[in-house]
Amino acid sequence: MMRPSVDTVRSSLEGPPGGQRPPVQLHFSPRTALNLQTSHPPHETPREAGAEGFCRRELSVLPAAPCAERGSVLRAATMFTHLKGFYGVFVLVTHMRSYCCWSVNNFLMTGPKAYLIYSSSVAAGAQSGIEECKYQFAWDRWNCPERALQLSTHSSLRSANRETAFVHAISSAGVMYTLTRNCSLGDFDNCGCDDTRNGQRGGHGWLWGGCSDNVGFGEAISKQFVDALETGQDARAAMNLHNNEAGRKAVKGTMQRTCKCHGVSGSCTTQTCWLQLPEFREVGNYLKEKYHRALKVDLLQGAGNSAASRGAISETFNAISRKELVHLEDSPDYCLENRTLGLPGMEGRECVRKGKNLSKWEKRSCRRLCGDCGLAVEERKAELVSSCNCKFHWCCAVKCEQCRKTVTKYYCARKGGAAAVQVQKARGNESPASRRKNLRLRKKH
Amino acid sequence: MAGAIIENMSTKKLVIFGVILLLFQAFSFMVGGLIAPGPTSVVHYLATKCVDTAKSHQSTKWFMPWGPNQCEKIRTFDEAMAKKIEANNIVFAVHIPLPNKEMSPWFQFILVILQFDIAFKMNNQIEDGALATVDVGLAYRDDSLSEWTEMAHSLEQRKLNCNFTTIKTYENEGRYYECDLLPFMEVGSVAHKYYLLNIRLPVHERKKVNVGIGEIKDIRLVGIHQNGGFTKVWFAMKTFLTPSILIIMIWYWRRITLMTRPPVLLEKVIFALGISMTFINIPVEWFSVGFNWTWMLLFGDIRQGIFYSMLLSFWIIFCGEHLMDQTERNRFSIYWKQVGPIVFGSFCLFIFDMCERGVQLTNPFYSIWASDVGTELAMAFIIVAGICACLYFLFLCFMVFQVFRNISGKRTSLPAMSKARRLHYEGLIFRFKFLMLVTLFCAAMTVIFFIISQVNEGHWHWGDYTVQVNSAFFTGIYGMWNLYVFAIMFLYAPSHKRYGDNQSSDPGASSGEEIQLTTTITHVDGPTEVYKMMGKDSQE
Repeated sequence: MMRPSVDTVRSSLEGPPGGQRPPVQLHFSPRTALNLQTSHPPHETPREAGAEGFCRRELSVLPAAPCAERGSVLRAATMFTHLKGFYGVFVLVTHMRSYCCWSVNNFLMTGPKAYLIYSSSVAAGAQSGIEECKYQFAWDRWNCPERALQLSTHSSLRSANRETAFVHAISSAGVMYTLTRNCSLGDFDNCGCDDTRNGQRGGHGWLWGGCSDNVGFGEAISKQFVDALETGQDARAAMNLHNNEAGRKAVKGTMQRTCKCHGVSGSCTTQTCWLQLPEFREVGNYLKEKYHRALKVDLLQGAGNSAASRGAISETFNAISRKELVHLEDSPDYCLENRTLGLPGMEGRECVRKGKNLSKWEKRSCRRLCGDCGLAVEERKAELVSSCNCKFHWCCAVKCEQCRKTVTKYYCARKGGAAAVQVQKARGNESPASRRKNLRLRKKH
Repeated sequence: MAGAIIENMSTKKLVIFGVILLLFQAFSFMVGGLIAPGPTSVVHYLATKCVDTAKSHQSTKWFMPWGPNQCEKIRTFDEAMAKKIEANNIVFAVHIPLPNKEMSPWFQFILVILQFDIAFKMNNQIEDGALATVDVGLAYRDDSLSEWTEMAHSLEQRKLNCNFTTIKTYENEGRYYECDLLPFMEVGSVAHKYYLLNIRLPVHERKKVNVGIGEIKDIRLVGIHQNGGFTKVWFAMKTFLTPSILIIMIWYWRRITLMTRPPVLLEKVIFALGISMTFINIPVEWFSVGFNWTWMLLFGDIRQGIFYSMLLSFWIIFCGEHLMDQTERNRFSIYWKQVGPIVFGSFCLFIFDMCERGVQLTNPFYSIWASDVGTELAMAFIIVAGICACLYFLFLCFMVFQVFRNISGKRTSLPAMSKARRLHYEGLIFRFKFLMLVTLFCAAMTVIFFIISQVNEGHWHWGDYTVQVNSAFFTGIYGMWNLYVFAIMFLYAPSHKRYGDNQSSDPGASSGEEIQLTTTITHVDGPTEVYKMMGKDSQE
């Protein structure tokens, strides 16, 4: 599979030269994004889901035309046709449903038409990456907000810090992971059998020597999709590409080798081994560790866009192991609210303090999030209605009782500030309510 | 074995013969390493969750995970919960192979391994000794439009052996248990192009069926089959080796029948070794490409078993016949103590194999390891076979030790002997040591390559070339034991050259000399030779 040359990608992806993008494109409400994420189960292809899936099916019959038409039907899409690839996967994910054909159009331009069938998996994959990111950074000062994700791919405001590095790595890992997984579901026709391993045997590859691993396939397609969004040739682009690669390496690195003996009488004279995808959590844990040990590369100073500096950039990045995360800038102070960078600050953040099985990192979260940022920890007691004494059966039957219990939650609050308390109240009420709702749903069945 | 070819062969010829063998050996390694692909392929399948909308579950409907007429799918069980779908209505469908591919008889077998993705839930944990009951059906068809034909249907139980590696807290809910691989299915011939597996996990609260098995999120299957390319190379190799062993075997037996005496035990054993090698070589597998012979896997096991036990018996008997003490052997019954464990051990393994692969002929989902009684039985068979193997190796080592002790005993008296006798003894010792060395070399090679193939990832990249280490192991080791048998039959065949016979001694003729070389053949040698020898001896 050929990678589209950088030039074609650029020409197709970049907006009108010098043109300002309409501001509307930047304001994606985090709320919508969140909804979309919760409704999409992780690691799954939303094949049947929404307009995007529908469009995809149409496309498989008639490649380009129907989708373009559909795009014009969607009023918003006309606007978005100007918008090209700068937003990247994240924007694409959060808006996949509503603007299906916009994204599909973009991919039409970025690569061969055959890639259309992967776009939904790519979207689901990037999303699972983001969810994992949220989980991993739940008790960190930077907690993987959507807004930051969008900004990170926006060219003028792109940051190049440690967190950006992680976001890139985890999302490219998510894409690779989901593609690999969906490959085993039989979603794709040519999965694994790209004849790279058995090139000389042509189409008989499968019969002669089997197909290469699904993982190789996932890796290749993930590369095509995620890396194609990086259009620049500067240090930031190089960094993002490096971190994308590190994410994919993380998937490979966390794979578990499993063997089965099947020789004479089941003995180990004949043994077949394979690599198995781990849980995605494992990949997240692995990358979190890499995040803590991310390397800083000092390239921003005086780096022009000349050919020489480009050479220097690639040389620098080539010298770093491809498993490591790299960043160019230091992270901003996440304690403080910073509107220009879109940082909400620590005020109103929840933290955890006591608990039997909390890790050290979690136990210290209140000090890290509140204390070290000059905020006080506010204790709030909330009454939770949760299901308990549940009797489960495999799959789809649950019988639960309802239990009420009082839990203590901790939030960061400005020392003696009243406004902050308001925020906390709003937040605090949210979760029990939604839980109750969930419970009601469950009880029905 | 008076006048075996190896004794009478000049060193130069022996070296040439050795070099030729080594060339063939290298060739057999290269065939596997460079031409053949890896021996087996692994295909990962993730079961699609289909919804059985029909009221009766006993309908013979088959659920396709993809393609035309695909089933009504759900993505997660949350969805099932929302739609009020019962567990009994969920069918896990797996199509073998993946889209756009088809299976082929060249794949020889399909082995499927089952893995459950079970999420941890605080109040729905896996109980100790939980059994998963799966209702599974296997169907086939030969073109992508025709109806599915049922091949097998069974209600199977598998023991869930899972542990949760992280701490059991609410925070870790949703993480997966680490479960042992479960043997699922084994089909001994791949006669059809498409296979379809429909798996159900029926729940029966009162009968305690599938209760307490945790929250199964997904079913993953791993399909293993032999690569077509490897099968072809393997068959080609067998087809080439069969006539070569067969020819040398006929030649060897003709040599023996030409002699005036009846064949001795060792000669018979070597011939039997040749027969068992030919038996394993004969490429009956060619038929599996045209016929649906599911018993081929079992048959292959039996053939291998026969060869292994023959080889082990040969080593014992060879040592025994070279013990160089005065005991008269040359009878098979003498060796019952040593050969007994071999026969008994391989019989145990045969029974075990019949219980596993034999039953799989009728029910491809059967596994002896699935039930407790079966596991104990299987373990018992394997342990008994292991004990037999240990016993055998103790005997063998003891015998080899005895031979070496006798040899060193002879060595001390060698300088006192006349030149001709000394040469003769040295020749006999050389004969034993040569086989000893070659055997050790072959065994070491086998072990080394076995370890390499186990440790290695399966292939080495060497510049532009990819060397398939596992295939090289199979073809190389197979070729090696063929060459071993070939070499034994050639080198230990009786020689034409009469003068070679003078070198064996008749104990009765060696006046006063304590050293006696009782290779059994010397006793039963034809009278002419004995007289000749006696004459020669008395001359000395």
